[in-house]
Amino acid sequence: MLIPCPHCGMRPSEEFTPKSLAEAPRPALGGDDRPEDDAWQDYLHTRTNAAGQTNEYFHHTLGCRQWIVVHRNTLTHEVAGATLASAYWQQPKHEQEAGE
Amino acid sequence: MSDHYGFWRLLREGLRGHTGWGPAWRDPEPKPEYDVIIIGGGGHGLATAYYLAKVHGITNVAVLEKGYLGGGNVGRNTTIVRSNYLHTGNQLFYEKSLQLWEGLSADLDYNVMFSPRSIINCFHTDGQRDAETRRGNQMILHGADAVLLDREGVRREAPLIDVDNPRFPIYGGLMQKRAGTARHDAVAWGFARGADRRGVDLLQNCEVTGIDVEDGRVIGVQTSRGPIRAKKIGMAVAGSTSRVGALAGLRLPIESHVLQAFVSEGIKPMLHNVITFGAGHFYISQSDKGGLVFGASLDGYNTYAQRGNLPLIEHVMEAGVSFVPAMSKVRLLRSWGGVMDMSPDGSPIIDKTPIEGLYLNAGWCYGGFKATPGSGWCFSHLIADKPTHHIAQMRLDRFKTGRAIDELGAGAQHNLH
Repeated sequence: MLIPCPHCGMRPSEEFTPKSLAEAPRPALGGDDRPEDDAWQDYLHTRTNAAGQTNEYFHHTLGCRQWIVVHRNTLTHEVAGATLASAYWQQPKHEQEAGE
Repeated sequence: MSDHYGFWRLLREGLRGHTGWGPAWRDPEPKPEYDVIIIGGGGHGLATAYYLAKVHGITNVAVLEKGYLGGGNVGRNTTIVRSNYLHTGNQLFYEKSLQLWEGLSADLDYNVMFSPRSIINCFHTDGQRDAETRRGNQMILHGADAVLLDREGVRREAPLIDVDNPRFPIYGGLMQKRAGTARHDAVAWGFARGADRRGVDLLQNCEVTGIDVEDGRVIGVQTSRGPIRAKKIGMAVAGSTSRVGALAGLRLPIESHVLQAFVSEGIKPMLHNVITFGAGHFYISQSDKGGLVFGASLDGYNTYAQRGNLPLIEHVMEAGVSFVPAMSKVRLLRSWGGVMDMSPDGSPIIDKTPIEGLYLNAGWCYGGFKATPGSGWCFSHLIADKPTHHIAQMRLDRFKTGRAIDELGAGAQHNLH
């Protein structure tokens, strides 16, 4: 599987460390959300876990060492694109879902 | 003559040219309504139906299976059975399960070929020795058995292991003698036959396409063989939990990952235990047919594809040859991948859901096979409104309440367990 790192270009997946599905943003530290609230639960534990198009965190451990979000199909392993994680949650929802 | 599987039956059928064996279970048409529906005709679903009928006398039960019985993860695992857990929330349950394994063939009237050939978890550092000693003590405190082996003890048990490996010398191992392996297909078939004989309808090629919920409680399911009503529905579909849960509007703490397993060509006996390598995640045993059966970690990324990648195969072979150098002479016969229900703490969930009458059995990560009888036993008790203490901590809400059962201490990340 090849992953298009926004910094490094097409790289083999062995260079990356997968973390988890990127389905909800991390709640702000010091905010009002308590650990048992949905905001933290959705970030840490709860997943839609779709069979099909998903967005998933990868760390480019053996490359630029940046966190990216990879838009990928979990039935076919087809990779549609990747975004820097720092930019991902700033995008409008439809762009996140389209993996642009 | 009864359809009991035993010596006299074998003799009789042998004399008659084996013409008298009937099918092991019926192929019934779905009824419009059942007392209990179990979604998933794998090991856990069939075991649940069996114990519902046997222990609780609830026989108006249907098991709905999308494909064929035992065609999922119960048919594609490395068949290891053990109860060597650290945490009470796990060990109570797995020890119950191991006790059921010990009497399972007689109970089911079906040879599941449970072979208590022992498991040894090797350790390679002083720190690992302390951790394994603690785990062994915990096992003994929970009524299981454990023995701490020194280096010579491991060498005596498994002479072909590279005990003196210069990079990862083996200091010893934690051994559970009652652990072992079983014949995975026979477990599914034995439970299926046992449930069928007690009146449970096993409905194959019956995909659940919808779960009907009214006023917060289940009333039935839509299937590819028509609607079926029931006031109690149990889900035992590890590998597809998120997809089936979504039919009832549930979002669950599960990610789906692939785990690969490997079998070598058949060779003469060289390994009579199940042994794990502590300096990398690797476990190996030898099947009764002679093949070495082994595996290691998840590939790491989310997938439903039941297909593993080559870099991990290379990693597994490296770990294997470091641990058992003689393996380098053996040819690999095949490898395959199965979809794992990974929970955030690596432990399973057997609990009610927020929807009344809908019960959840999920999150088996890669330890579901050994749990098969225990899971069926406990899940059937839960569905029959007689929950047991074995699953007291295996709750769905434990991530909210901070009571995770994190066996590895790896934190809330699904793919680390």
